[in-house]
Amino acid sequence: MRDDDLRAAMSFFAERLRGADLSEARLLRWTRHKLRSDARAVAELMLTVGYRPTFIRYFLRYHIPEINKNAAVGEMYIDPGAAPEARLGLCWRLDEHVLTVYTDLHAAAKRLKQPYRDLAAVCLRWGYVHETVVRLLAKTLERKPRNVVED
Amino acid sequence: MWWKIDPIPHQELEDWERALVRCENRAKRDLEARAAGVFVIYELDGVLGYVAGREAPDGAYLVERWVRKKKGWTLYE
Repeated sequence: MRDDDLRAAMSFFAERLRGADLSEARLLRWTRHKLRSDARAVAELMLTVGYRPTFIRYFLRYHIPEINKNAAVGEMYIDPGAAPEARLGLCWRLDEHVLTVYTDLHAAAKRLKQPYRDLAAVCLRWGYVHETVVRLLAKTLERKPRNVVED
Repeated sequence: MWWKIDPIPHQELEDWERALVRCENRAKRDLEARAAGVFVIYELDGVLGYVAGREAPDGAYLVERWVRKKKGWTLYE
C-alpha cells in the first residue's frame, strides 16, 4: 500500500475512534483489519477521502465476494444498472454507503473503453483485482470525494 | 450529497485486540508452533486464528507473523 494512502486510512480510522489513545503500531494494525473486514468502513473511507486505487483494491478483493456471497440465490448478479426488481433484494441488504460505492464502481466500469469495460464487469462480479481496471476505475472516479458530516 | 460518518465504539477495537492477544498467547504455547519456530495469526470470515508456519490458510489474511528467537517470540508483521 502506498504510504500516503495508508496514512489517509489511518487518519480516517483514528478520527472515527474519537478519544482512543492509540500507538502508531496499534492504529496501523487496526486500520488493516478494518480495510479487510469492514465493507462499510471502506466505503465510508472512499466517500470521504476519495476513490483511490488502494481502497478500490481492498473493496474488490475483500468485500465484493462477501456481498455476492450474502446475496440470495437469484440475486447474485447485482449490476445496479439492472431492472429495479432485479436488485431490490440486494438493496435491502446493503448499507447505504456500501451500496453507493458499489453503484459508483459499476457506473465507472460502464464508462470504460473495451476491453476494460468487460474486464471491469468481471472484476465487480467476482471480486477479482485487475490492476489496470483498478487504475482506470480510480481515474474515472477521481472527482468523486463527497462532503461528510461528522457527529 | 452529504454523508454522516458514525464514530467507531472503542469497545470494538478493544474486543478485537483482546481476541488477538488471546490468539497470540495460545499460539505461543502451541507445541506445533514452537516446533516450527514460526506461526501466523490470520483472520478468516471475521474470526481470528493461528497456524504454525509462515503462511495463512487460503482465503484468510495474515494479521501477524511471529518468529521464535532464543529468548522468545518476535513479531515481524
